[in-house]
Amino acid sequence: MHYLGVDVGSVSVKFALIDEKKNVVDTLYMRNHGVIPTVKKGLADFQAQLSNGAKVSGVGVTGSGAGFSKVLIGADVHKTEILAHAIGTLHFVPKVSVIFEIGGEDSKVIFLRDGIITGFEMNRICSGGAGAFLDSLAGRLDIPISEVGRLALHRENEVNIASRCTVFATTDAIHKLNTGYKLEDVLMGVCNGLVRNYLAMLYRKVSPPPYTFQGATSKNVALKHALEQQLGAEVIVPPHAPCLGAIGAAILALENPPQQTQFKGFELAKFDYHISSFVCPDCENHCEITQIMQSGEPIASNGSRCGKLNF
Amino acid sequence: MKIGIPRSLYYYKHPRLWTTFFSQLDQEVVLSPPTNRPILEAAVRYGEDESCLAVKLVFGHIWYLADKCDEIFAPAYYGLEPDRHSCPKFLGVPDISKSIFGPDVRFLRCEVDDGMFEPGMLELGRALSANGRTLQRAVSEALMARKRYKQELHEGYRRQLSSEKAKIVVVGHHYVIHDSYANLSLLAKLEERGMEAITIDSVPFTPIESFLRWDFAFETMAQLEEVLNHDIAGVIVLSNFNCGVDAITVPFVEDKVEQYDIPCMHLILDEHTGEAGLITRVDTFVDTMKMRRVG
Repeated sequence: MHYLGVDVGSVSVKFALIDEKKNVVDTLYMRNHGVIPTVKKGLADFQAQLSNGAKVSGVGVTGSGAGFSKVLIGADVHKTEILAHAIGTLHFVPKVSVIFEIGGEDSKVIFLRDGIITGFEMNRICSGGAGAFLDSLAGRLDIPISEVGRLALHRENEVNIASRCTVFATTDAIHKLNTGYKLEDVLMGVCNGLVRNYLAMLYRKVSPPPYTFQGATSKNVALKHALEQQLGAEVIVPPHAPCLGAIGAAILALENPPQQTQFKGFELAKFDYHISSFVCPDCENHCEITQIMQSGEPIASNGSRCGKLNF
Repeated sequence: MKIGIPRSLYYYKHPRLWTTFFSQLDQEVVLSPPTNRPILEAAVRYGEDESCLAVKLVFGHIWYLADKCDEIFAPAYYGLEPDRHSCPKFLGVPDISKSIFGPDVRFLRCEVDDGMFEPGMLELGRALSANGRTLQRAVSEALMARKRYKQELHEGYRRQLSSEKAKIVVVGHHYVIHDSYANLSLLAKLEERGMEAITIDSVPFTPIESFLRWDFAFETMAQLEEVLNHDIAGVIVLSNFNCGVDAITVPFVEDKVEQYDIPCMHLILDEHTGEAGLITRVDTFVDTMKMRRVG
């Protein structure tokens, strides 16, 4: 018996398969190029990757795109990314007290005590301190995102990059490059600034370690270094760090098993999905209603403020 | 005469006070509808950009009323008790409205200081040439309506306390927690998730000593003193982005709630707040509370 977890984030989609003893069978990380094609391709690729096949008894989804993907995949359990990350992390680091997770468009800090979430912070109005910013900066500087951390650790000088807003941070970084700083110095400055901005969420209440650092950004060794420096403590990057949300979702499906899974199978390609949207004319709010159509029939509908067109 | 009352700011604190007063003076009251999309769009268009969403929304509601009445009621609130203060932006509302909407829109101005409504009401009554006895009666009926509304809130609060459901206290300015379009229906979302949402304005005060001089800050601390002694599962603080009073108040609220070891979440809203982000936070908060209760 297997349980599938899918974490549909803004930048990437993660898949994880666990067995009934919560052992991780396999994971898959993919860039999100639009939720329908990515989820379809992801499931097909994941199935090909699973050499021994899988018997899926339950599916959990999480992430900012989960509400939508739930109907697409036929998921049984839908939980928020904070809960999913906490559950996934607790599986590997049961005593974790603070989870640092920097995602693509949001970043979070989760506080735990004896395996129970006691609080959390998420970036509020602006997603400035999140991974997508590093990604776009790397694109602009024409270096692969996977190289940013390694390069940054080869810095020679300390460079201070304005970090409050990524628009200014970009300007500042480009300006520093034009005044002759090495690329490595500037990249480290950006990583330091990003972590400084991120930790500004925590104006108080940090309990003693163990700490973990996860999300795809945890692969960036310079970010990990900056986080450890600024916290003054070691952070653990748990196994499968980019996919812990998906693993957590799978565990949540295992712990809340459905009688009969809604899972539509790995071959989603056979379903024809498309999105249709229209403006509801019934009142002056003119809500934009988005519907997922499966073979011409709406299977999910969203966007109505009064709720009457949501299902 | 048709008098327009914007459904914003202090309307939510005492919805019946001014409507009763003007009706008693035989004036026709035109109340703007609950915030909707055109009103929000007008608010963003007319409001000056340094204000919080709630202050911008006043101008949205005035925009709605502008061609539907003869005068628009625009009170300036200084404070609700001696030696206490309302948000300074409220003082500016009548004058800013005048400068935004120009001479074609007429405003009925009135000042409320130290929580004294009578002086302003008497002045308004004379401006509307009400006779002495009618005016006196209008004043006392209006104040009575305000008092009754408060009593009803407290009765509702006591009913909610005896509920079997997990209770969440929603802290925030009355005009933030009760404007469901602007706050993306937070109260309804909590109810859908099986929670009993207690709004802080329904909670009676426990007398406290505090150096806080903002009406909202002082009242909230006095109300927390009462409500936190009951079986409360969590507290959600709802703020508008850019609110200066909340910048002072919220850390005190969080500190107080922490002393009771109750989970507390601070949500900040703005006109572009996405519903997905709000739902993620509310769902996580509800899950967190359930984990704590089970664990």
